[in-house]
Amino acid sequence: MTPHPIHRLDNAVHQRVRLGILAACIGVAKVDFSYLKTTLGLTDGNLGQHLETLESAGLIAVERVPQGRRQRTWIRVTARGRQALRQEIAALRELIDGIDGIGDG
Amino acid sequence: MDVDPVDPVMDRLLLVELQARVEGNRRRAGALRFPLAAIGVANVLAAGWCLLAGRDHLLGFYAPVLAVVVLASRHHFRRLAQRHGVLLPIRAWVLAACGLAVASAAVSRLGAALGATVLEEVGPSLVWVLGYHVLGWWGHNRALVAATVVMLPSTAVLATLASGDGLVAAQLAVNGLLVGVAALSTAELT
Repeated sequence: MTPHPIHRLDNAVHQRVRLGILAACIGVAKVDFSYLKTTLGLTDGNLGQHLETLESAGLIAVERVPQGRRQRTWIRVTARGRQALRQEIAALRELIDGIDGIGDG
Repeated sequence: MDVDPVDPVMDRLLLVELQARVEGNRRRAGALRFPLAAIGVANVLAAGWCLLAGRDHLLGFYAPVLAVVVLASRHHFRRLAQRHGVLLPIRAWVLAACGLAVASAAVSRLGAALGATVLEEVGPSLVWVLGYHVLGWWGHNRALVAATVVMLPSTAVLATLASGDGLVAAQLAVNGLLVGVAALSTAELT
């Protein structure tokens, strides 16, 4: 028996902000902290926490580059992160298809 | 906020949002104005080289010129990244361009080996047209797709007007100009 798609949802990934971060990093080489903050409408602290969670799960790589007196933080999605996002999208599609199937009778 | 995995409305919204972000990044990655313009210029220069040195020496021209295009594009994208906070990838289209250069040379050699003049003179150009077309579809670049649609009849017309190095040079010049026009219509990263 095929396991329900709910079991393929990863807790580190299945969270709206963290999914937004991964999706914003997919398809580009890397993005910086300010870009993510503006795009996702987050505070520094909130974004930082989610980045830490994703980094410790090996889903993103964070690089701090000195720029003048400050540091610029660049975020890149890892191969594991890309795979996790693909799995999440597939699981969500299956969940939605399943629900639509119930509606169709 | 954690998402309830069995909330169908939230799941649907989340999926739509994710797909929109991924699609948006695809469009961003297709914002290849600078590399396309550089490749267009390289093709026009290659036309001159073809007339001077002959079509058999085009790969020797493209290898260093593509390297210059890649380095210049990387520098350009890094400058854009400093401004916009997004670094566009170059690896995919660089590998594609190198593959197309080698494939077009191979088609030309195959045509020469088989004694098929049309394959030798027109084949390489068609390989590049196919590559531009796929790149256009991948990056949602309508201007580039439209340019490739114009390249096909222009190649047919040129084949009736010229032959040998002259035909290859004319195809390179026309295709280069069309890629340049497509580049002007292509968005830059904003």
